[in-house]
Amino acid sequence: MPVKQFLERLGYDELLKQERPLLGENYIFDATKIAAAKEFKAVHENVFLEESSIALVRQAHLQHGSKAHSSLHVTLTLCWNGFQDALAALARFAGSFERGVSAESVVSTVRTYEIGDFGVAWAWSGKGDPDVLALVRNNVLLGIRSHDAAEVTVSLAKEVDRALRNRRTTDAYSDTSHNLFVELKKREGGTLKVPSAGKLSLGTLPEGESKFFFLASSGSVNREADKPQSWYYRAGTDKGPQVIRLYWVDAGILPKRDGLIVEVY
Amino acid sequence: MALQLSTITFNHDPASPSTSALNIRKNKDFEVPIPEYDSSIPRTPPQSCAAYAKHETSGQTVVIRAHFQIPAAVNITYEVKASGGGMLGHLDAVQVVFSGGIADQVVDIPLPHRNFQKIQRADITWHWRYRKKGASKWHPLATTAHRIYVILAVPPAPWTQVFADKHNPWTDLLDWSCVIASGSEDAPTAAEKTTKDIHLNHALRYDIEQGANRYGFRVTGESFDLTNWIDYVLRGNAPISPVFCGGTAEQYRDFWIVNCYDCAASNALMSKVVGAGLDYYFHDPFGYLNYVLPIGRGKCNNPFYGCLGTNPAVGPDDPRTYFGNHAYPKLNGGTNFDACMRVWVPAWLSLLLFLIWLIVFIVTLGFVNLKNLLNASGGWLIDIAQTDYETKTIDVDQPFEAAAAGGVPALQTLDFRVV
Repeated sequence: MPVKQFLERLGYDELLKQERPLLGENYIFDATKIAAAKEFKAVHENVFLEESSIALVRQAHLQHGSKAHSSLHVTLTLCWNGFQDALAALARFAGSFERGVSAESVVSTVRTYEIGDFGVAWAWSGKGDPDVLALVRNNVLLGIRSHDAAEVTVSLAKEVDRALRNRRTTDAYSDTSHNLFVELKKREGGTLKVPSAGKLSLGTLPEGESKFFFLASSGSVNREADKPQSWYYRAGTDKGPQVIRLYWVDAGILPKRDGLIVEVY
Repeated sequence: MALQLSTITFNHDPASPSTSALNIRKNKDFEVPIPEYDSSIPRTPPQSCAAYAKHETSGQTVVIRAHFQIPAAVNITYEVKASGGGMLGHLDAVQVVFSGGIADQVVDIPLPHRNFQKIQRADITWHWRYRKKGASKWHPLATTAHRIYVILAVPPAPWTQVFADKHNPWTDLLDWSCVIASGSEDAPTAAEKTTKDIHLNHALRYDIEQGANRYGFRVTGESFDLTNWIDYVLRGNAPISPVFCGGTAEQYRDFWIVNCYDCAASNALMSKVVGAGLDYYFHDPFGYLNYVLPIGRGKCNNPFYGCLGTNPAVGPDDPRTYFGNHAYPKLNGGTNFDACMRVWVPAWLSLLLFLIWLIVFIVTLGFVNLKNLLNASGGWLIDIAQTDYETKTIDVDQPFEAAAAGGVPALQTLDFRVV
């Protein structure tokens, strides 16, 4: 059954007319601090920024300590532009399986487990605890895929949802100054200018827990070949003011953002 | 007075794929340096690289731009040439004229002896020589080495030729795709080679539990994790952990487990980067399968038989798991190229098809190569029309099977992660 159909049946389209506040306080997913996942340990992590509708995605693979076949794949996606994007991310997550699922197997997490603003869950066998669960709380998507760990899925989702629900919210995100841009503006003074196809050195960012993501309206932000911690802006052929955005995140899911305007001539 | 070769620029005109090399970059983080050769910066051939498009350069005057210097400004004319060059060919003698108090000179040198007929990747070397005009003896000037990629045409979207864009073709991928599709002179051949390579050569196995993707793209709005695909799959560096089906006979590195979205997206991106227009299509709903060979798996019509399952192939009309949806690429909106599965062909039929192909090939002294017979012998779903594809893969014999089918392939806007 196509995903669209079971989402509609569970009231997805109604939610598309609504809004929710944004997560205003960072949330760090730490499996060791989640009671439901105490038997599991994180064995792999991946963090990236989705560009098309800005979203910070953090994926964690959890492996059971003693049952080798039991594992959980947890995805937390914070959608910078709000609830609607989180709903779209949920539809994508729910549809990210080639395996066919029967319509009767899919339940609402709101009605069945009282979690999420909207959510779906199902067991591939059609009965028992869900193997797959996806819910949206405000502008955050939680997605869980379990392998031989279905009994943990709902309790894990409940803990994460509770933590998200109890966090401070905000109506809009504002920019935060980052030293990289502050120093650059100080160093260059006045308006930053670079010729078309020219190069503007941005400075150095430390390698460590922090992850950095650059977006440029034209041109690109790159690493220096001989000093990968050093970044520079390569202007494209579009002239005029260009915006460089820097998103960065530490252990959590709520990134910070700063912006820089460069005049390309 | 000694002449010096200071720089060579292959991509001297970012706006022209016809007379200049293409806009390329190493990967999402690093650019390819321009000028590609700089005598003051030691570089390996892969660092001094350029790519050319066969279609756009055909019949054009392709040039490289060389920068020469002399120690002091005098009026003097040199002749410069280079031997070697591989597919770029040797360089005919050109004049480098210094006059009017200039000690620097830039000269465009044509590549009339190039051979851009087929996809290839090669490290080439030029042995440069020079002489004063009128002199008879040539002197060594420099030896330069470069990695050159030749592709069929400017790579279509999501690749772009917009200067300084992170979607410029990545040499980290060209390094693989040009070798995989090496020798191809047209898009169907390049797509066929890429499809077979993904299916056979990277130890990939289908996700027999959930059919979930590992590399991020399913439909428009998502992006493929090309960086990890190159590292984990093409280079074989998938992390040891996490594991798939841990503790069972099916235990395997999780990032070598794929589904058909992964196969289709990678196939499209790897074919597109060499100029073959393979587009990604999503087919929803898809349905129950006939007997097929999912990537890295055996005969199967019950694709989600699980880590402990022993019944990948059940009776043809038995209740079983099925493809809720499926993805595969099409070449320019036409025929299908599926790297995710092959049709299961009985051994006798496979042998018969092969023998027919062989007989025709021998009788015609190699002039008739019925590749479709050979591909059918191997069960390949390559260069195959939509109706034929569906007939071979989707089982609609029983009412419950027919009820699960009925979708049509829909073109998706493929993208990959660059931040």
